[in-house]
Amino acid sequence: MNNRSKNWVRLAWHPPDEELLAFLDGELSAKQAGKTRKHLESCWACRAKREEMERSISAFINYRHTALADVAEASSRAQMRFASKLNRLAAKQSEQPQLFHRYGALACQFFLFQPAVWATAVVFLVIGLGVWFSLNRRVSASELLQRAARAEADQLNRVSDSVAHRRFQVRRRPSVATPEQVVNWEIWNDSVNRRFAQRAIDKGGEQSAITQSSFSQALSAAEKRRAQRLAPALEVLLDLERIFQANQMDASHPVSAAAFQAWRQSIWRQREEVSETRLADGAEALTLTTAAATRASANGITEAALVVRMKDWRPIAQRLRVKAEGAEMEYEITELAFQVVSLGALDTTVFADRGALPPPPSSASSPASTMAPAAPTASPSSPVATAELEVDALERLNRANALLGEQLSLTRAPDGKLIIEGIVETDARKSEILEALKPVAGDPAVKIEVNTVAEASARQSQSASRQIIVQDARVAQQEILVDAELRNYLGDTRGLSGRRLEQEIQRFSAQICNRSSRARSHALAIKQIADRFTPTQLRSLDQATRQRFNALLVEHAQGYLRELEQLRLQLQPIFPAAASSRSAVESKISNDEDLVRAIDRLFESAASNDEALRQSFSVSTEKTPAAMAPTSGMASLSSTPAFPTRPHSTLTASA
Amino acid sequence: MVFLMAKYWLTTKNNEAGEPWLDVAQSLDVRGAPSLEQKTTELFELFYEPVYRYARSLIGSQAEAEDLAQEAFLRLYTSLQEGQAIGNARSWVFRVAHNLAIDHLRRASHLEQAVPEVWQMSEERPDVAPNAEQRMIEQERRQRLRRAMMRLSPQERYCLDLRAEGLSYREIAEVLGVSVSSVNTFLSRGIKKIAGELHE
Repeated sequence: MNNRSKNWVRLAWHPPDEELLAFLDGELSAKQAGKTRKHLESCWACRAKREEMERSISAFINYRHTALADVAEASSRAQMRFASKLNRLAAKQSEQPQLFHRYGALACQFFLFQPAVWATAVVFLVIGLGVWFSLNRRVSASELLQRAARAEADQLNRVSDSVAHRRFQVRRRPSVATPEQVVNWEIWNDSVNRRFAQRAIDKGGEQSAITQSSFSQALSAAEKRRAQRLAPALEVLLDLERIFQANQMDASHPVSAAAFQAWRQSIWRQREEVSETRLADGAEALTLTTAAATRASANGITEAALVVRMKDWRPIAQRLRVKAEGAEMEYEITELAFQVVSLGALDTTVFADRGALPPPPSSASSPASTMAPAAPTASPSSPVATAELEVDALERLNRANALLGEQLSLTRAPDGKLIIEGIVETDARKSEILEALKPVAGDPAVKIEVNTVAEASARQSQSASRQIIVQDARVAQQEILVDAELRNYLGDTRGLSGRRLEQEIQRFSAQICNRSSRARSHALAIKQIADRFTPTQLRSLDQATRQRFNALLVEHAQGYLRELEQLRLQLQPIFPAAASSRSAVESKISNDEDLVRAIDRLFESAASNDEALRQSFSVSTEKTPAAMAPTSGMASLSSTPAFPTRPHSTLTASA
Repeated sequence: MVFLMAKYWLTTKNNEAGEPWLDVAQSLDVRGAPSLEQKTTELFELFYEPVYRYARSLIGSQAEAEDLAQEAFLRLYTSLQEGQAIGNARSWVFRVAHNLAIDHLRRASHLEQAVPEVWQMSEERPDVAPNAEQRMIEQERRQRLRRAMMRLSPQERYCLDLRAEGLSYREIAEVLGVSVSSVNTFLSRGIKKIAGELHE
């Protein structure tokens, strides 16, 4: 055939529709595609057909696009739902160890499906057999921590109202030639009320009292008493406490995946490895060792290791290398015993804590406490209450939860007497508060007048001047202000409808209101505590008293922060724009005047947050513009003064 | 670093047809490599929207399509966990979603209903045409397309939908369990039907 007749054949041939479409879709082989392209260049009819195909495709795509327009909106919510489903599934599956199974199967997959690498793989397999066994069981650092955290949660969840009770041995090894120090440390974590208690036991078996607060009080008490025996043990634990605080680790959860993770995320990691170890009892364990890249400041951890037992993924030991003044210290915390008990079954003295508080300085004959003897500071003839006594009374009221919105007040009479007065709901509550105040009640400088509502109205001597009433959250059957947004969120993301949706809306609103009012109560407590002293008085407090005063503030600041963070988490999915803009107004606290001002601002902002949230989430009779309330509420929620964001550092700085 | 490399590997290691392959080596637990949860989440972020859209175009209901698409990814996780061989993650997830959707329709005995409601786009859908005349033209177009959708066979519709989500012929063939040439034929017929309605 000559060239001309070849051309005619090419013109007479037209690609079938399938082939033309496959050409447009890039699905033809290079040779076929070349042929079709050449034909199109010379054939108008096929070019027209191509245009028609393209038009049909674009019409279909446009139609589909309009029909499925709402997809993108649903996507971000879907992501959150999926994450929680995946977590649940992963938690369920991690109950059976999958590691070995997975590797075996993946290896099979590798060989079966990629025959081309058969030969290489076999060679590798032979050479690397030894390496394989040591490597293939490795777990990544984050997986190790995740599993450990999950295991810990599972263990706690097995018992209702669980309290974790752990005993550790703490060894401090200074690198210089000073002797190693060994202390036993016992802690209790109440997961229901988020309470923490601890005690120190020294080598000789001497125990400190169980305390819910820092060992600093116990130490200062021991020093005062010149009971030096326990002091070194307390010092070690107190140093450890400071190290935890300086490194973003939760001091109440030592040797835990969560604390380790918090530190790990706060540093630049220089090197990290997971290695296999064997414990003294022969059990297998994995050790995660992480070294920080940045030069650590004083008390900064330069390297930490967490030992996790493989059998149950339980973290059982932790080593910390810490930069101290000029030298490096090593701490080794090993778990000696662990049990989870129900709160009801726990010895009530653990969280009672009253014995741990030093008795008031002026009452020499108060019930004996193991580490707090009376310091003869005030003579009985002078009825003027000392600042220490006042802080002590505050602490006792705080332990009895009497600072969270109850109508109790501490005032000073012109003659210097400390007056604790107030009205409580029931007789039981009254006796509880009186019991808490018992150690200070005998002091001549203290006057206590606590009455029940019934008694007060009978006497008609109710003083309303310092009443601060916190309303209850009540959600009635009518519609709340952010009803539409809530309905939208709960209906779409959780797929609720009908009665369940209504119930969930009520439950959610009540929860928000309760949380908000708890946050406000904490802010109120902070203010009540702070109001006790003027900046000048604060400066004149001795160091131990000042520390106790600060501890009280910190406790409530943390409570406030916790509630605020929970609120933010709960509200963010519903009002993403308002809750995510987290613009903390940075206010420096460099002296006591600043502290007092910051506390005032905190209280105001807590009150206005609470008002805004209450307006939005409880039933309102007059309908204000719906969009306004949640947004303004959230805005103020995010612009809370910076004081509570780092309670510890600011307070210690100002101390 | 390893994590980044693995991610790069996953998204760039394409075969000739541009298909993302789930690399087997990546699933091995190299130290510091992402966990299976993370990998599944990554794949979810990459493919959830197309899979959900596809499910939605098959069964119409928003909530059910969402559950079903998510279920497909959860099964991907379980299969990876069990060490199952997964070559092309995208077509794997689409296939699971497709089968779940068909089961769902069967259970609800909707299979005979060729076109789900979502395609029977009515006039309430947002109309972007600026003036009355253009609105009329647009409405006319939509009606024609609606008619075309009614005329499509289920297989043609599945193929068009999957192709619209960017799947190659081979991936579509894997999802539907048919040959590549059948996919070509279904697509071509489908487009012809649409063209017929648009230009008659």
